[in-house]
Amino acid sequence: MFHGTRSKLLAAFTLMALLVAVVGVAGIVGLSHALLYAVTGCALATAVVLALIVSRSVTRPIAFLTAESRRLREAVLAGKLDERGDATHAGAEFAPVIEGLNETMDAFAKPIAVTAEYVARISKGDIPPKITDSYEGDFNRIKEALNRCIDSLAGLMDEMNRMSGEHERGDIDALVDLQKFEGVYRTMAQGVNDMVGAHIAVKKKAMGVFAEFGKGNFDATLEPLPGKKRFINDTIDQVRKNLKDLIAELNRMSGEHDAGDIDATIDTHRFHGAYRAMAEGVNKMVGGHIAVKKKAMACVAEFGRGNFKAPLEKFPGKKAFINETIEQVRDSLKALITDADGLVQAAVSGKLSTRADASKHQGDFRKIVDGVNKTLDAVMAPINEAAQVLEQFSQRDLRARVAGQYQGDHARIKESVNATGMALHDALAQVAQAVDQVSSASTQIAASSQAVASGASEQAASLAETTSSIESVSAMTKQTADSAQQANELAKAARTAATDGSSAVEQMQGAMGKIKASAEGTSQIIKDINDIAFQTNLLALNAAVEAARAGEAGRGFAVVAEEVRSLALRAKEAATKTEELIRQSVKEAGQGEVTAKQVAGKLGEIAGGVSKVSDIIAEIASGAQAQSTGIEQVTRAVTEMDKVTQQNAASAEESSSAASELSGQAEELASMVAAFQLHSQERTNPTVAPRKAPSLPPSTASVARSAPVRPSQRAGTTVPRGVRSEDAPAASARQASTRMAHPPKADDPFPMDEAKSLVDF
Amino acid sequence: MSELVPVVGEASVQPNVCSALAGRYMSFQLADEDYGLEILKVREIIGLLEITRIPRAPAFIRGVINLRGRVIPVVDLRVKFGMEATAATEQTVVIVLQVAFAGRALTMGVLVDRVLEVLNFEASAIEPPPDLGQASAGSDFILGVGKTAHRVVFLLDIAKILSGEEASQLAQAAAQQ
Repeated sequence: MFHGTRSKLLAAFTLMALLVAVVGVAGIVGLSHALLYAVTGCALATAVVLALIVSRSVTRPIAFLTAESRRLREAVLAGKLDERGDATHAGAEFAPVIEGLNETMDAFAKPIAVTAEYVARISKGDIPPKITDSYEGDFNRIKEALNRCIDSLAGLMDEMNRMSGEHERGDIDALVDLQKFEGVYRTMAQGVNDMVGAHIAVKKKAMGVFAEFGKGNFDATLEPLPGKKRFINDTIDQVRKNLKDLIAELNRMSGEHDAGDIDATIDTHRFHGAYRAMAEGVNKMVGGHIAVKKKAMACVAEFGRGNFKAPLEKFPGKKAFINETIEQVRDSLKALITDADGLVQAAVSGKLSTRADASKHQGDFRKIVDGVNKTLDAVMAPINEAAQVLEQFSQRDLRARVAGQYQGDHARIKESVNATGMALHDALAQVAQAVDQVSSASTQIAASSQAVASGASEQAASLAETTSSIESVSAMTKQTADSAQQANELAKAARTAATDGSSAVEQMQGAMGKIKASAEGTSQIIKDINDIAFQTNLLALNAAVEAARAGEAGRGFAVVAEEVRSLALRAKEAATKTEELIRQSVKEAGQGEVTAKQVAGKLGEIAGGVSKVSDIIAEIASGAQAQSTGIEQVTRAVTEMDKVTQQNAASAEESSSAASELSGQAEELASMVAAFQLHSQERTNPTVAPRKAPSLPPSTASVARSAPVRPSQRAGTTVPRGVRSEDAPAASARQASTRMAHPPKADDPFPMDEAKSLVDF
Repeated sequence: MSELVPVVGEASVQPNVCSALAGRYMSFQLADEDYGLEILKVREIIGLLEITRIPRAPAFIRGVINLRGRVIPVVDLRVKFGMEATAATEQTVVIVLQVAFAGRALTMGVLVDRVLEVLNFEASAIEPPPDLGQASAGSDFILGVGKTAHRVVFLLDIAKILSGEEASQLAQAAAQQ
C-alpha cells in the first residue's frame, strides 16, 4: 500500500497531521496533562518514527539514485553504452529519474549503435538498407550522412552491377556512369571502366585470333601480352597446337579409312579435355557410322540367309535412309515371298487357278513371279484337262480321254488318266457280267438259307421235346435213387439174416461133415471088402480057368471055384448093398451136406447176392447220380444245342436277308453299271434275279420253347445219342436234320431198353 | 449065377460052327460091349499091375508087365479095336492069354475094362458073326455072337485079333524087355 515514495510521504504526513490533530484535539479538548503528554509523547514518537521512516524512504531512493547515476556516467565514459540504470530500487517516485536517465541514454545509444552498426556493415562491405527511422536534429544529420554514404556505395555497386550485368548480357561496351559519382568514387568508377576496357581489348584480340582459327587459319598470331596476360598467348598457342594436331589426326584417320582400314581411330590419348572429347567424338561418330553400316549389313546378311524378320534399329535423322533402303529391300523380298507363299498355300489348299500379281513387283522380282505363274500354268494345263476328263468319268462317261499334247512328265498324267479310263471301262464291263452271277448266286443262297432256317426251327422243336423228356427222366432218376436207397436198407437187413443163416448152416455142415467122414470111413472099409470080393472073384475066375484047363479033373475044382465066386459075389453084393446103404447115407449126408452147402451157398449167395444187390444198388445210386449228372450234361448240351439252333436260325435268317440284300445290291449294282456310258459293244444285260423275300419259317427262337411239332419221334431218336458225348448236339442236330425226312415209327417217348439206358449212363 | 447057365435058346443058322463054338468063355467088357474069350486060351486073370510102356511101340501095345518074373506084353484091345484108350480103373484087369501064332506060343495080356464071368455058351446061344459085306474083312476075329439073357457077347478069336506082323512086333517087344 505504501509502495511509492509519494504515497509513503503522503501517508506519513497524513499521519503526522493526524497526530497533530490528535494533539491539537487533545489540547483542545482539554485532556489531562498526563494524557496530553502521553498523547503528545505518542504523537511525537510516532512523528519521529514517521519522520525516520519518511526520511528513510526519501533518502534511500535518492542515494540509490545518486549511485546509479554515477555508475551510469562511468559506464558511458568507459564506453559501455549498454548500461542502464536499474529503476527497481529507486522507488516509485525516483524510478522515473532512472528511467529518464535510461531513456536519455537510449536516445544517444541507439543512434550511436545504429550508426556503429551501419558503419561496421559498410566497412565489411555489407551495404545495409537506408535508415528509415526518423530522427530529430543531429541524429537526423547522422542518419542523412549515413544514408548518403549508403547511397553512394550502393550506387557504385549498382552501376558496377549494371555494367557487369550488361557485360554479361553481351554489351561489352557498357561503362559505369561517371557522372553519378564524385570524388574517389568517380575515380574508382573510372578506374573500373579503364580496366574493363583494357581487358576487353585483349579479349577482342584473342578472339580475333580465335576467329581466324574459326575460319580455319591456324596461323593467326597474337601479340605477346605482358605479365600474367601471357597465359592468353599460351592458351592460344595451346589451342592452335591442339587443333592442328587434331586436324592432322583426323586427316590421318580419314586417309586410313579411305584406304580401307575402317578400324583406324584417332589416338585420343594425345589429346585432353575437349579435344580428347572431340577425338573421341570423331572416333565415336565414325564408329557409330561404321556400326550403323555393320548393322545394316548384318540385316542384309540375314536377308541373305533368308531371315527377313531381322530387325534393323531405327537410325535417327538422316541415317533413316538406310532404314528406308533396307526396308525397301525387305519389303520387296517379303512381297516376293508372300506371293510365293500365297501361291504355295493356294496350290496346297487346292486353288490351283490362283496366280500371283506380277505387277506388284519390280525388275527381277517381277520376272520371278511371272516365271512362277507360267510354271503353274504349264503344270495345271494337263492337270485341268485330266480333271475335266475325270469329271466326265464321274458323270459316268467312261469314253472321255485326255487329248492334249504334253511333254515330258506332263504327259504322265495324261497317260495315267487315259489308262484309268480304259481300265475302268473294261472293269465295269466285267462287273456287269459278274453282277449276273452274283444275282443268281444270291438267289441260291436265299433258298438254302430258307432251308437251313426251317431245319433249324424243326431242330429247335425237337430240342424242346428232348428237354421235356430229359426232365421226366430226371424225375425218374430221382425216384430210382430213392428206391435204391430203400433197397439198400432191405439188402442190408437181408444180408444180416443171411449171415445168421450162414452160421447156422455152417454148424449143420459141421455135423454133416462128421457124418460124412464116418460114412466115408465106412465106405473105405466097404471098398476094401469090395476089393477083396473082386480079388476073390478074380481068384475064382482064375480057378475056373485052371479048372477048365484041367478039364474033367477040374470039374470039382470048377464047382469050388464057382462057389467061391458065388461067395465072392455074395460078399460083393453085401458089400455093394452096404456100400449102397453107406452110399445112400453118405449120399443123403452128402445131400444133406450138399443141401447144407447149398443152403449155405444159397445163404452165401443171398449174402453175396445181397452184397451184390448192395453193390448194384450203390451202382444204381451212383448210376442214378451219374444219370442225374448225365441228364444235367444232356440238359446243358441240349441248351447248347438250342442256342446253336437259335443261332443257326438267326444266322439263317441273317444269311437269308443278306442274300436278299445281296440280290438287291446286285440289282443296284447292275443299274449303277448301266448308268455308265461305255463304248458301244456287245454287252449282255445283267439278268438280275427277281428280288424275293425268302419265306422264313416262323421265328425259330419262339418255336424252340413252345409246343413243338412232331415231338416224340425226334426226342426218341436224338436223346440216346445225345447223352453219349458233349459234342453230340452237333451230331444229333445233323441227325435230326437228316431224320427230318424219315421220322422213325416208334410211338413211345423212350423207344429204348431201360436197362440199356442205365448201362449207357 | 443064374447067368452061369444061360437060359436062352435060339435056333442058330449054322449049328456046325456054333456048336464048335459052344463052350466056356471068359467074358469081359470093353466100353460097355461084352466080349468073350475061349477059356482055354486064358491062363490067368490078374488085377492091374504097373504097365511099363515101351518106347516107339505101336499104339496098341500098351506096354509090358512083370508077372512073377515073366515079362508079358499087354495089348490094349480098345486101341486095337479102334476105340480110344482110356485110363485104367479099379475094374481094369489084364487077361493073360496064351495064343499060338505061326506055330509059336505067345503069352500076352489084354487090357480090358472089366472082367465079368465065365459063361458057358450052348450052341444055340451062339450066332454067327454079323455079315457086314466088305467091312467084314477085318472082323474075322469075331468067332461069333453069344447071347445071354440080357446081353450080346462078341466071341473073339485071339489069334485073329493080331496080324502076323503085329504078333512079331509083340514078341519083339516082349523079347526086348
